[in-house]
Amino acid sequence: MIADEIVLSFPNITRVTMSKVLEYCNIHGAGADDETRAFDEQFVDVDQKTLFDLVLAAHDLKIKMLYDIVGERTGDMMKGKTPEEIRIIFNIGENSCVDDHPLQKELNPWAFE
Amino acid sequence: MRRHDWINSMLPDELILEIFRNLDSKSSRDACALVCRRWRTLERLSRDTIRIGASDRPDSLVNLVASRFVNVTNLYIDERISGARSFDVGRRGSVRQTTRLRLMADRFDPNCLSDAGLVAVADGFTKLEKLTLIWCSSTTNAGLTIVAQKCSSWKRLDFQGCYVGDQGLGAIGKYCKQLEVLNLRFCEGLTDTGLVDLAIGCEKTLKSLGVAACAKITDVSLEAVGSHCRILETLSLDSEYIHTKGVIAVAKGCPLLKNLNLQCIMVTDEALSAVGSLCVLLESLALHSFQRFSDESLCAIAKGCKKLKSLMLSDCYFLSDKGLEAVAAGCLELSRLEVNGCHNISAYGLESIGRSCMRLTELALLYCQKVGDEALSEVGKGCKYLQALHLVDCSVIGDDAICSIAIGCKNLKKLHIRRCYEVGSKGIIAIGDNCKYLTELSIRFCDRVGDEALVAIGNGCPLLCHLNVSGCHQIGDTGITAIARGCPQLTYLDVSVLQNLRDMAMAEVGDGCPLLKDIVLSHCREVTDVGLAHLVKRCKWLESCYMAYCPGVTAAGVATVISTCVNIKKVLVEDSKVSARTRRRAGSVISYLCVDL
Repeated sequence: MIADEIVLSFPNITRVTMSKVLEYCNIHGAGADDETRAFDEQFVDVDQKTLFDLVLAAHDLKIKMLYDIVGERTGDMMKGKTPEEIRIIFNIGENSCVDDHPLQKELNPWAFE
Repeated sequence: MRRHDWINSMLPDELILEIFRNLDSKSSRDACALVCRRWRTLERLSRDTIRIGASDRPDSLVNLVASRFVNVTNLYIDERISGARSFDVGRRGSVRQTTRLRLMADRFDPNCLSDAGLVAVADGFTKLEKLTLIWCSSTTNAGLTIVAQKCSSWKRLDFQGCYVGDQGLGAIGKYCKQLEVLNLRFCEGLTDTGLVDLAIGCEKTLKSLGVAACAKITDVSLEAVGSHCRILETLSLDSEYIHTKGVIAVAKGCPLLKNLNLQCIMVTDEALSAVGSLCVLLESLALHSFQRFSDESLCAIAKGCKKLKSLMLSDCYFLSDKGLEAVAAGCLELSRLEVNGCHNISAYGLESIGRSCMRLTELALLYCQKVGDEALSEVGKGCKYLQALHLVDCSVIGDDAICSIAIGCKNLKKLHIRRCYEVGSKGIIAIGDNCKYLTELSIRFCDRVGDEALVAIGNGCPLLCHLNVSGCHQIGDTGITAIARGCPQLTYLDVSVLQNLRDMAMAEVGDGCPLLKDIVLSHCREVTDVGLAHLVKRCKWLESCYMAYCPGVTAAGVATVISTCVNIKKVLVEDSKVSARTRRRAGSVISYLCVDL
């Protein structure tokens, strides 16, 4: 006997994240155009926790288009920044940055004169 | 309230790795490598391509790099690139770097990669698929033979100026059973024996072969290639010792040939006729310096190679419009055409192209003195998808031609014009009005073009990245200001020899173009330290600055550039303008002008 409903469960994805993923899929169901591009821009303009929830969800659910845009958004936050600026943006602690002065010198030999 | 490090607590290694892999610029990736230990480790794992230059201890450098970047698939060792550093292993075994400054007067002779170094490459880079060795003059046959046995996974090998001999190549043929691409340049010790062995050994996999300036390679090798390398798709030959016989052998034996690039003065029409009738899958053909080719060749190609997409003819003196007309009629898929120094090609050949080749996306006409406005007008009418147009020394082409192109080719992205003295503002204004996708514009020495043209470009081409107006004497502050205000994506600007350009324009460029990477201001009489300082203060990512023969720029200005631009890689300026302090800080990036003014 075939069940009338099939239940899929994703224990790693919260309800909030899943509803955002479904929203994305519904908008993009008809194909890309100017409206979807505008939607994408405001869709990825979220706080970091939400953004990384989406990265993980898109990766687990194998939704390439969504994965690409949230990945690109994350990359854009790193582009053209100095290491210190990146640490500030992502709140990466100083104590995980041991040993970087000699490395920094490799790249910018006169930065610490 | 202390904020949380979400990215490191939420994302696993593989996902951060993928984000790094998608970062295009080296400076962004380098910055990420310095953020924290985890990112340093991951960033190193994400590197798949490494370029090593000359250094004084190349073998240990190879070991160091191999241990740090374990996922490298693509390795270039280029002894022409001089390194500015030597690596020392300190007492505790950690790497302590000592900077060596390179000055022009103080060249050291680098030791070249030895056979031991080559073995270290093979042992250290376990995932290597592509290896390029350029001028590694200390590696020998013995080294290559040992290494070939270890590297059955190599897919692509490029050897330039190395003592690759028959024995080495034979070993590669024997052991590298996945080899798809082989390029040999200036390998003077190599004879037919080695290449024949390789052709036989790699017959099942070889897809691309390039041989240039290897004086002992003759038709015998090509006959072996023709007999064995059935799946060959790309062949590139630059040699005086290859004749018609060799090319015909390849044409007969390699029916899948797609790309053919010939610079062989002894080859004649007969060879190309064979290619025309036998290589029906040919997509790209490049013929250089052919004194022996005539229209007959082109007609044969046009008849047989219906899939031809790219055609490049350089210094083919006997070719005329008739040949080009045949190509236009026969090769309807043509998307790229370059004609260089073919003096007998004039109008009607090009007009036929304009009428028939609707898919043309790139057209280059260099030193074609007879091509005029009508011919380009036909191209403008027929080739709607044209994206790139290069015109050099086409002295008859003028504004009408450029206007037709502007109106007809709205997708134009790149326009490079040099020394076409009849082109003036009218044509360039038309470009500004019509070609909103323009990314590159170069109008060198077109001295009839004035400020109003650049105003139109500034208004109409917001995607412009590359602008070269060198030698356009009529352009001044107004034009450059318009560009600065209208083209925020600008990364390359050449305003050399513009006598009327002043500091104000430099300040505008600084304000409007923060992404600028390269600037050429040589011979700008009126630019001073003040303008330069305004520019570099805002253009933080500047990588090169050429400012020779600028009397208004002094040592202070040079020092400002060096200290402000952290990414600076190359500075061209007079020796006398570099103070001792600046020299200490950045000797490795300054190329001195060695002429006393």
